[in-house]
Amino acid sequence: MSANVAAVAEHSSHGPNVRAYMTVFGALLFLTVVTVLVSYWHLPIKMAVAVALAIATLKSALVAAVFMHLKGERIIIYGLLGITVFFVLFLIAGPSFDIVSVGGHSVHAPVAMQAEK
Amino acid sequence: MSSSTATLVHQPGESTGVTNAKLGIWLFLASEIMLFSTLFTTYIVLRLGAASWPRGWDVLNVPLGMLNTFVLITSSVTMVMAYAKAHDRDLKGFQRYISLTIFLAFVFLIVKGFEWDAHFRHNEFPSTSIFHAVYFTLTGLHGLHVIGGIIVNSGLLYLSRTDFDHPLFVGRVEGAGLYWHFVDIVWIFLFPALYLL
Amino acid sequence: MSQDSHSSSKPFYRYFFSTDHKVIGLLYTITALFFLLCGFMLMLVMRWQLAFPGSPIPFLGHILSPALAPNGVMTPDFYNALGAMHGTIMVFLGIVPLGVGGFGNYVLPLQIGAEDMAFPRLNLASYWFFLLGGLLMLSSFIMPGGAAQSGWTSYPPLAIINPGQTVWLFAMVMLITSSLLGAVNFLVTSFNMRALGMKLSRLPIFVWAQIVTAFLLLLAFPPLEAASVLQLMDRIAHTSFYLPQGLVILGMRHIASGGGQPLLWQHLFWFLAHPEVYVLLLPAMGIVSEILANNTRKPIHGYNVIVGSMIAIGILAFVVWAHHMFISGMSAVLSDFFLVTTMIISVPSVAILTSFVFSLRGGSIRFTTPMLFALAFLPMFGIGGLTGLPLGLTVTDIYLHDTYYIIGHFHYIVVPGSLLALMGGVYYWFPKWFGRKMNDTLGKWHFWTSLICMNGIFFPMFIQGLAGQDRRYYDPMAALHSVPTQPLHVVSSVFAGLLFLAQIPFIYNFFHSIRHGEKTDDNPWQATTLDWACPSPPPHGNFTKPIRVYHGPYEYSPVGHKTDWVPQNEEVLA
Repeated sequence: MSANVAAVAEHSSHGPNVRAYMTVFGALLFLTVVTVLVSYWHLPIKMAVAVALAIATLKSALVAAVFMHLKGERIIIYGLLGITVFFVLFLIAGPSFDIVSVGGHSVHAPVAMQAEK
Repeated sequence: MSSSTATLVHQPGESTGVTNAKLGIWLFLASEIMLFSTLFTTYIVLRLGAASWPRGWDVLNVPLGMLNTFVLITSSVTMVMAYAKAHDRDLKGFQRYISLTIFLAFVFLIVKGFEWDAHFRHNEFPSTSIFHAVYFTLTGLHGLHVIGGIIVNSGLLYLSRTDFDHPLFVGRVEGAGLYWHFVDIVWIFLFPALYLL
Repeated sequence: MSQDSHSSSKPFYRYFFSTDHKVIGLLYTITALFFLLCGFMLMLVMRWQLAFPGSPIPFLGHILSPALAPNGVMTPDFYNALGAMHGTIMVFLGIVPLGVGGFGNYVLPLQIGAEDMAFPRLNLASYWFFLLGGLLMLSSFIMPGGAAQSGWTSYPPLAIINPGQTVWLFAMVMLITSSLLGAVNFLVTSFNMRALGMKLSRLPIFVWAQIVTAFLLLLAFPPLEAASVLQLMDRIAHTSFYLPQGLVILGMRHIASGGGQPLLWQHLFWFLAHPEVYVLLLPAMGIVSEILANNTRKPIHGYNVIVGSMIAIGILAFVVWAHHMFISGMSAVLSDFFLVTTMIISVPSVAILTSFVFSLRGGSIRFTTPMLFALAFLPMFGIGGLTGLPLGLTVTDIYLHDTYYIIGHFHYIVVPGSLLALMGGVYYWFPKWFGRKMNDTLGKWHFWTSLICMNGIFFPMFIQGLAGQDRRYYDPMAALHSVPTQPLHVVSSVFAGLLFLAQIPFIYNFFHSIRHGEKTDDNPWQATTLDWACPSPPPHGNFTKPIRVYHGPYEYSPVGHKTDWVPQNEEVLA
């Protein structure tokens, strides 16, 4: 039985690496402080979004790679996540582009005001 | 014949190299990625189309949000430590860390509860503005996922008394961990999106 | 694995709480056929109003409450509810559960040589979510506020203002959960549970179709789940996700904060609903390829092309959704993008259809009942697909979009296309389910009458649409330009009534043959795939001997072999 357990464990991961976990823990805490401090400075909105997004992406990449053992994961999981992210990009880009290109609120507001009169 | 299924289920699939449970969890997480991406799309679209959008600092309690980020990150670490202990066949260690994870999840919800309560007492509801609608709905759905994590982890804690040596147990802990880290990742994006930008 | 429930002696538990994929598959099939009938009957009532606007509904007019049909004439609200529920039931409770839950559950594990699904208990949970969600959806007719009235697309702000929508949303969330559980299960099963030697390149096309379908369900449904939750918030918590600033309803300012985007719902809805179209279609294509190969007695033409096209469809299905929204006022840049992707996605569909047609060439065709259904699928899907092209081009779509043309187009895809193929599947796998055949004569009557009636219903709609008749009107006489083509509604309605009569032999045949049909052996069609390599009906655990796969799925008429088919699990020594 125990041999079986070990075999399963061997397959399902490359063994826990406590040191890596603690390093990532430190990095996550540090990055959280950084992102809060940056937002305190009132950067222009585009820059603020870029910085916040970059930090959040880095943090989640660390969690995914180390805590979720994506580093060294099987190819089928990469394929699955790759295609999901591909669709996510379309899901975000399509509606956003539509709203921006028709002018967002400015289209609806005059119509509504006319109706109110 | 049935014994061959039993081994099939416990062992990674021939062509994928991944166990059924793990593949299932990742597929579920892929659908969860689509779910939360939709919510972020909603956030982006509504914000792009809004006449004005408040800064998180002005309407939300950033220190409490930051505290909650710390709490959730720490709970991710305790979760992965629980997995490490289960992997190393250390029952006491596993129970300690999984309990800690559940405790931290409760702390997260309680802090969140205080935040919501403060909003309600200032007469701020989901119907107040489009920002509040987004804030309450997104944090609410995330909160539901936290509650789901508490239920799963509590189940594992309960099962560990009898099933710790079950050949599937480590895999179950790993699966629960994958889900919990995903909930953490969602918050990693939610926090700056709602509180900081 | 704990599968004690199989051995339970009480029939109720044995049938409704079994975790055996075959029992669940049959439950799905019968439940879905029941819902299809319900959705069809709603349509019959609707068709009365279209054919004879303003006249009392016969029979039903006396039974319906005066609120729905005063003096037997249906109200516009009731008409809208019928339309919305017809669409919802047919798509989410009928075709999808039949093609995926029914056939997928029963046939997929057999065809890959598995003993059961990867997660049998999740499978059972999936069925129960489906059943309860479906019953909740149906029950909305008798709830205060009535059924949803905003179309199966539920566009806001109308959907948020109209009564009845809340139940629809709750039911949808349950149905989506059911589909997600099923999708995870199908994918894990087909990736991890295949028999020895069953390489991906040896999978029957039906299995490939189910894999692609499951991917579509897995990744396309969550956006609608999230969108439904947001619409629920709009209705219950009075948020304004989909309500614009300063909305005015019937001259009154709507009390909500506003600031939302009605168009957002359309994007999120169609992000699901376009892949959903392929969810309706792909299982049918899978069934057709099984039946075609079996009844032409030759390997399917272009296995790689078909599988590749299905995968291409699966990916492209996610990037074409906004062609449903060309008239929403989107910018030309965006609509050009979706126009191009839409034209591209028609290529793999054509490739599949062409391969099917080539499969017929040089075959020694057996005109069995399932084969008739599969053969009819080809031209019907051709009509449905080709009439879709003008809808993918912005210029023509703007004229045709709100007319009956579009109703004709997608019904051609789904009814004489998908549904016909699914019915062929029932005749094809019936001997596997019950060890008995369905009656051939009745089957052929069912086929010919259904085929003629379906065309009689939907073909007039193309003419009406080209003449500009609006598709959402309660009263077809309301617009002057619709009056000349209104008589065609009578044609459609008469054929709809006949189609209903044509289903009676099918229903009788189905239930009669379960007990009294002609007994068959394990492999009555002399088929090659693994679903025919086990007893009929298969016992729990499916296979009586260990399965090993030696070659591809359609080894028909091999040179120098004693029979004209070689099962996948039979080793051929060269």
